[in-house]
Amino acid sequence: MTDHDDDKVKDEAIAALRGIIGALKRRVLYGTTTISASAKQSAASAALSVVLRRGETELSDLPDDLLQDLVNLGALSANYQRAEQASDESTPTDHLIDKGEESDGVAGPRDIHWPNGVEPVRATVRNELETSPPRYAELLLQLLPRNHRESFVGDHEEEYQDDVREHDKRCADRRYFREVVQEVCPLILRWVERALTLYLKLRGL
Amino acid sequence: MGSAIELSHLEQVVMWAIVRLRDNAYGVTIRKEIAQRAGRDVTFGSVYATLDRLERKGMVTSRKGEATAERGGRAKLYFKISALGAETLNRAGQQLADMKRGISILTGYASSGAVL
Repeated sequence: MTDHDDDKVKDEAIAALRGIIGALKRRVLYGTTTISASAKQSAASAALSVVLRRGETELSDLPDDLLQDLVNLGALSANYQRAEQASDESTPTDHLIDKGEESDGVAGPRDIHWPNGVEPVRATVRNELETSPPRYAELLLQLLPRNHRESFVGDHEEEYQDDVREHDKRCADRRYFREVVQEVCPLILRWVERALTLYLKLRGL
Repeated sequence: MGSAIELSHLEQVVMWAIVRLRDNAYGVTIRKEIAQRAGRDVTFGSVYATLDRLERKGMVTSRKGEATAERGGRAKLYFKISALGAETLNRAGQQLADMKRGISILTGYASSGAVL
């Protein structure tokens, strides 16, 4: 492998790893209270593939933020496991979740409370909570046709993150919601129009 | 006369944006390029509907790119102009240029309502 190929492989692996970590964080913060075994396995195998494909064990080669994410993810997972052991309930992680609302009355992402003696991984979790698009608006995008939906929703999220960086979360939320409504409204109107047409046909009008 | 494939104005604008962006043409960059250069604020819905149409006509091709945390772990979809697309886009540009040839002054035409 030349140095150029080597760097390319590393960049690809890092990009894949970032994607998996992003998806995992979202799963943790949005409703799914536990990281599934397969998700953990995906993260682990992605990390492993970085090392194996590099042919060396230089984890220090990974960017600092990515390493920090890996460490936080590990701690997050460990916290869950300890919390599960500490609880006698049949759904042990339910009590960790507070279905809170943000101060402006808009339902916000769920907050996580950690049991006694467990060090929370607040910095990363808080940051993620503050920079996620409004969940209800994101759900509306699921109404769109499946074709290209993944990249379509991803594009919206990327612009949202840019807005948060350039302006603030409130402004980004507003713009995101406005854009989602712009995308979804014509679709809903078309459905209503079709339903009405069908109804009128059936009634013989 | 060439083949009967015609391109709408938005289709042409989107294709020119892809040409300009080279290897970095995906939803976000295409939309920004259109806003910057053409001054049109199009929704992602319009961009993707247009790209979908162009793909079915064989004008562009797409490939899945990398997923990033910034996009919530979702992959980008990169677009490229096909050979047929490049040919059709050139022809569309040529048609406009042919129509415009010989007409050099349009200033004030719209406001005066004059017929040339």
